[in-house]
Amino acid sequence: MDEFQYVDILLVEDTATDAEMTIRALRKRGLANHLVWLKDGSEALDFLFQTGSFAGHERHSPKLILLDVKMPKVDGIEVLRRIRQDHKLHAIPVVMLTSSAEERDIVISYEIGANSYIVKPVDTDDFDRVVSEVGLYWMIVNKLPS
Amino acid sequence: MRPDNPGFWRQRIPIFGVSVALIVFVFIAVISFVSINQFQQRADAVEHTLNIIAKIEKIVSQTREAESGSRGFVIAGRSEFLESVDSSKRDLPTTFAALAALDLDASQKKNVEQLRSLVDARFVMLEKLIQLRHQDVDISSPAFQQAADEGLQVMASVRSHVALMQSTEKVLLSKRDAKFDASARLTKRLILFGTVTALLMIICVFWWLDKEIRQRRLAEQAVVDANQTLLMRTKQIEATNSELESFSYSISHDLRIPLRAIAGYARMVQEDYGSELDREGARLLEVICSNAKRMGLLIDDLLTFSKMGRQGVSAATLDMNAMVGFAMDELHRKDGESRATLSVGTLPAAWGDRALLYQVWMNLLSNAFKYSQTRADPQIKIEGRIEGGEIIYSVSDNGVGFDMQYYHKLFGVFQRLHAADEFPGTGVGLAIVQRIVTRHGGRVWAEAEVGRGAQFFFALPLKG
Repeated sequence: MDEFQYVDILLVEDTATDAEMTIRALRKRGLANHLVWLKDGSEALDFLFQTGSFAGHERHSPKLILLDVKMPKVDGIEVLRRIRQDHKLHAIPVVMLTSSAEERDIVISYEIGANSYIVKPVDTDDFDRVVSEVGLYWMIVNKLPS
Repeated sequence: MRPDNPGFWRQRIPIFGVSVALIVFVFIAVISFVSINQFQQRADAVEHTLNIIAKIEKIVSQTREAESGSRGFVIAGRSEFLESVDSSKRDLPTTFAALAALDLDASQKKNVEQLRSLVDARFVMLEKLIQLRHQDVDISSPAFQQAADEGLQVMASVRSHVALMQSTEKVLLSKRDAKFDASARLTKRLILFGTVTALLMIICVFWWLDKEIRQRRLAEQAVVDANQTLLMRTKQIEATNSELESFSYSISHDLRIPLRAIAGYARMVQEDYGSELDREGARLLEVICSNAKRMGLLIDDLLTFSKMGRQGVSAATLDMNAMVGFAMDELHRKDGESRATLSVGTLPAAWGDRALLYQVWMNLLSNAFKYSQTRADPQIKIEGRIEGGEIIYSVSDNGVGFDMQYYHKLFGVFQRLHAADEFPGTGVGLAIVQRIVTRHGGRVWAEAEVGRGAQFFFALPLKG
């Protein structure tokens, strides 16, 4: 499908309000033009590996994946594990975005190969600032192999 | 254990009993030894007596031999009869010497001397008869007869003297026997009595030990049971505690999502439709935003508080002066430079968790700044001292203080002694302070007066 021809950021987030706020914060910085939002881990896996509802689609390699940790069905940790195991996707920067600073989740995420682990602030200003900083850093400051 | 303790003597019952039994056994052993010795002596005495009697009898028989030899010579006139006379005469001194060599009492010695002279006299008679026979004097002549009569008389004396000596010796023996029997009877009684006493003692000790062991076993069982109950209770409490903690943690976590949405969407309305709202509409929206923010702070503090209970304490030696300096810097960064006059004393090093104790200083210092900021010349004083095995730190301010009648609420969660619009805060700070200090094995307290200021103390145990 045409809308997926070019994807910069893949946002995987089951909470719609958090997703909308994230997209809004990124859009303020002009970073949400090629953003895809998926509602859980299994959708993300289907999208990345062209299975399920995404079977037959073109393969995409986003420049940044924002992954919620706690999601129904397949959680962010599992999605991250599958990405790192795939030889074509394994180099994509993955930032874990979560509401909880659960020590166990942080340790596992970094073991599997998360590039960053960020706790979503409750404060609106802080939230905007953190999300836009993450977007700016990974999309503009950070250099990826071409 | 000191002797005035009743248990002291109770504990020593078995030692006392066994000691007495041992002493009795030693006593019995000594008596037995003495008794065996006496028995030996008695046997020696009997042998001694028999020996004396035998020697006396030997003297008598040698004398008789000499007598019958001389008689044979007198009748037959053959000189070979004289051989036995000679041998007797030769052997008798040896026999007498052997008798004298035996240990004789004084009267027996005298008797032996008398016997010797009687025997000598008898030999004189025998030699006189032999002499007469050599001279061929007729046996029936008065001289011969007289000599023979005298010889018979001497021999009778010898016999009666020997009988006397033998009976004397027998009397001595029976006297000794009687003495020995008396002592043997006493010994027998002592041994019997001693053995029974010692056995009774040992039985008593065994009975007592058995009783004691049974009691001890019961007591041990009771302790084990009590420990078991305690362990179960502790486990239940621990389970309840961790359940409560994970509950409060997940509540604060799950509350964040809708809260973030309320604040975020209110902000979106402000940003996208702010121009379309009148002043009242904008004010109402601002109330939503500020309350969402406040609830966020409450949840964050609650989260911190619940995390305090789960987080492990990793101890190190901490430079408290440096820590207070860092806390000051952070507070100034967050809230701006303070007008307060600060005086920090020399603080003893602490033994504890760096991050947790830093949190304590942060909370106490931010309180001190907060509640003294309304003063014309806010003053904050930080001190530390070692006293009674603990290090006591204090933070004093000359701020608004609080009423000591509400002291019991001071360290409670979400407890505030001032209105939120007067002094902002969530009412968790001091609860966190108390929790951290308690986890370090220390204690927290405070003194205050309304309008005069407050002084907060926390004491940590010295290392080790």
